[in-house]
Amino acid sequence: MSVKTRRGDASYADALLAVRDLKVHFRVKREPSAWAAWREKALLRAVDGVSFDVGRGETVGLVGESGCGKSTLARAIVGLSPVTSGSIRWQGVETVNDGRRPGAAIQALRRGVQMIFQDPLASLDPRMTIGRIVAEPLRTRRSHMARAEVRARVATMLERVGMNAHYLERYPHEFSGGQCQRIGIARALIAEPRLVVCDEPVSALDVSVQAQVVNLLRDLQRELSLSMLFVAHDLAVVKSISHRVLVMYLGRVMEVGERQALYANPRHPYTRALLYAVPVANPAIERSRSRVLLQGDLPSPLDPPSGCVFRTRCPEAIDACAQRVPPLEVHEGQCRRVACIRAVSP
Amino acid sequence: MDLLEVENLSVRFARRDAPAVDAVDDISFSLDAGRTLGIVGESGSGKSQTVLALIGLMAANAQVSGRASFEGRDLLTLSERALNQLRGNRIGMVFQDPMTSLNPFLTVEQQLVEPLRLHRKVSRREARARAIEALERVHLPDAARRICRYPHEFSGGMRQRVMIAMALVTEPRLLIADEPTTALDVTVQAQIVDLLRELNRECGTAMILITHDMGVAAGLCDEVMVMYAGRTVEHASALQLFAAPTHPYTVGLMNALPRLDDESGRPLAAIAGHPPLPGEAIEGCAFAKRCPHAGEPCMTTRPVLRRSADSEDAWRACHLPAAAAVGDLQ
Repeated sequence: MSVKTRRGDASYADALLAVRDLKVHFRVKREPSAWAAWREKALLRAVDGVSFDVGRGETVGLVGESGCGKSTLARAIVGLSPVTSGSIRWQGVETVNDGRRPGAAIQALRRGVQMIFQDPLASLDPRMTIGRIVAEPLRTRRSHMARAEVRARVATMLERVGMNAHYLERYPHEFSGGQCQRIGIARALIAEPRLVVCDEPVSALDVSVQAQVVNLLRDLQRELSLSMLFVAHDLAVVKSISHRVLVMYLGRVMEVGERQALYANPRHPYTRALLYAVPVANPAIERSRSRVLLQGDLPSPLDPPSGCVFRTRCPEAIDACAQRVPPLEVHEGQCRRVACIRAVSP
Repeated sequence: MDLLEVENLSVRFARRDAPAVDAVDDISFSLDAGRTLGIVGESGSGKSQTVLALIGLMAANAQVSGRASFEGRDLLTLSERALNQLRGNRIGMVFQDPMTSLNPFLTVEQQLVEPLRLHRKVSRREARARAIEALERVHLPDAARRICRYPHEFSGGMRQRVMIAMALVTEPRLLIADEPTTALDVTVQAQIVDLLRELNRECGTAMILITHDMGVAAGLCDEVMVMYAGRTVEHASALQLFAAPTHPYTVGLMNALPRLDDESGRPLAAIAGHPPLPGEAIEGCAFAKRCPHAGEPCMTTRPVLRRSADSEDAWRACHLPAAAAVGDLQ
C-alpha cells in the first residue's frame, strides 16, 4: 500500500482531515422510564472526545454498533451535525471555532468534501431527474460552467459509475436500490471532492449488489486517489475496503489500527467481541462455537458507565476499569492505538 | 412423518394496469419434526411471502395455490377460524422488527398470557406462572418483575427475546422466524442465534428461519433452501450447501459475501446485473441473464427442481451439470 498515513500530533498539519478531541453533545429529554427525573434535561454524549486523521488517498473505516456515534461523527465533520467542542482541521485549516463553524471555514471544507448516504432512494429528490440530481453540485459550486459542459460531465460521470447515460431524463423511482446508490456516488464525485464521507453506503443493499457497489467505491478511490471515511456496521465490508479502521463504542474510540493488523490481532476486548460475533457462512465453524462473548445490550448513552464505557459488558473488566477513562494509547509502534488498561503490548 | 409438506405453492398478486407478480412460483419442500430449515435469498425473492401464505396472512389481492399440509391438514384450505386455532398455538411466529410487532399499549404480561388463555384453558395465575417461565427460558433477566413492563421499556434485543418467548409459550410444533436478527446489532444477534439454537435443541420445536444472512443460516439450520425470483434454485443440507454449492446463483452469492478471513485484498466477486423486477416476464431460468455459465436452454426452458445425482437430500434447478455450473468457488 503506497498510502502514507500519519498519526500523532506532530504531523497534524499534514493530514487531509485532522479531528482532535471532538465532542458532540445533545440536550435531550430524559427517557420516560427514569421517571424520577421526569422533566429534567439530560446530556447525550453522542461523540465524546474522538481524535483521528484521514491521510491523502486513504480510506478509513469506522465501525461500531448502532448508537455508538459513528454516524453523528461523520455528520459533524461535514457540518450536518452541531459540534460541541474540539477541533476539525481541513488541510491544516481549523473549521471549528469555540464549538461554532464559521461560514467561511465550513464552506472551504464543504468544497472538498462530499457525502454518500445510507438510504439510496431517500437521499435522491423524487421530483428531480437523474441528470439534474447529478448536475446539482456543479451548478452550485461552478455556476459559471456552460450547460453543454455540465451535461457532458454528468454523462461521463454516470457512465463511470456504471449507469447508462440515456437515463438522464428518468426519475429516481425508476431505478433499483443499487442503481440509486450509483447515482448517489455520481452526485458525490462530480464536484471532484478530496474526501468522501460514506455513511453506511451499502447496508441497504442485497449481497450481490452490495459487492458491486463496494467494488465501484474501491476502484474510484484508487483511480481518483480519493480519501474516504467509510462508516459501516458490517465488519467484513469495512475490511474489504479500508486501509485503516477505527472501532467506536458509546461515543469513544476503542481501537485504531491498520486493517490487516487490527483484524488479525485485535487488542481491545470490544474489537475481539465484535469480530467474534460476526456469523461465518460455514456450518462447521458456526456450530463448534462456544458461548457468545458479550452479554447484554449497549448501555444508555444518557448514563454511560464511569471509567471505561465498555466495562459493563467486558469479560475482562477489573475494578480499576471503573476508576478512570482509559486513554487511547499507542501499541506496536505508531499504527495501533488502544483504549484499554488491560491491553498489553506484545 | 413430515410435520409440514408444501407442494407447488404459488403466490400471485394481481395488479391493476400492470402484469401480475408471481411472488412465489411453484415451491415445494418438507420439514420433519424438530428440524430447522433456512430459507435464504435476497429481498424480493419471495421468502417472506412463502411463510405468510402458509399461515394465511396474505394481502387481499393475493391468489394462493398449491398444497401445504401441516400435521395432516391443508393450511391453504383451512377456514379463518381453524387457522386461528393453529396460529399462536401449534405454529409460533417471530417477526423481523421487534419494535413494531409488539403491542405498545399492552404490558408484556398481557401479551404473553393472551395465547395461553386463548389456546390452553388455564387459570390466570397459571398463565402468569407459565409466562414468567417462558421469559426465563429466553434468558430475560429479572423476568418476574419485568413482566409487567411495556415493550418500550425494553431494548431491541430484549424485545426480540420477548417475541420469542411469546411464540414459544404455547409450545408450538413449528416456529416460523422471519429475519429475527436483522434489526439487531451483531453482538446481540449472536445472543439471539445462540438462544434459538438452544431452544430448538431443548424443546424439539421445528423451525423455519428466513434470513438474507448466510452466516446466520449456517449457524442455525439443518437444511437450507435458496430462493431467487420466487423460485427455489437449490435445496440441500447446510453442511453440503455451504461446503459445495452447486447452483451458479448460490455460488455467486457465496463469492459476493465479504469475508472476515479474506486477506487477499482482492475486489469482491460481485454478480453482474440485477434480479428481475416484480412482474417481469421470465422465460427459462430466472437467473440466466446474470449467470456466467448460461447456455441455450437456460434462456428458453425453465429448469425443474431435481434431486441431485450424487446426493439423496439435495435438489437443484439448473440445466447445467453440477461441475459445469460451479465454475471457480473462491
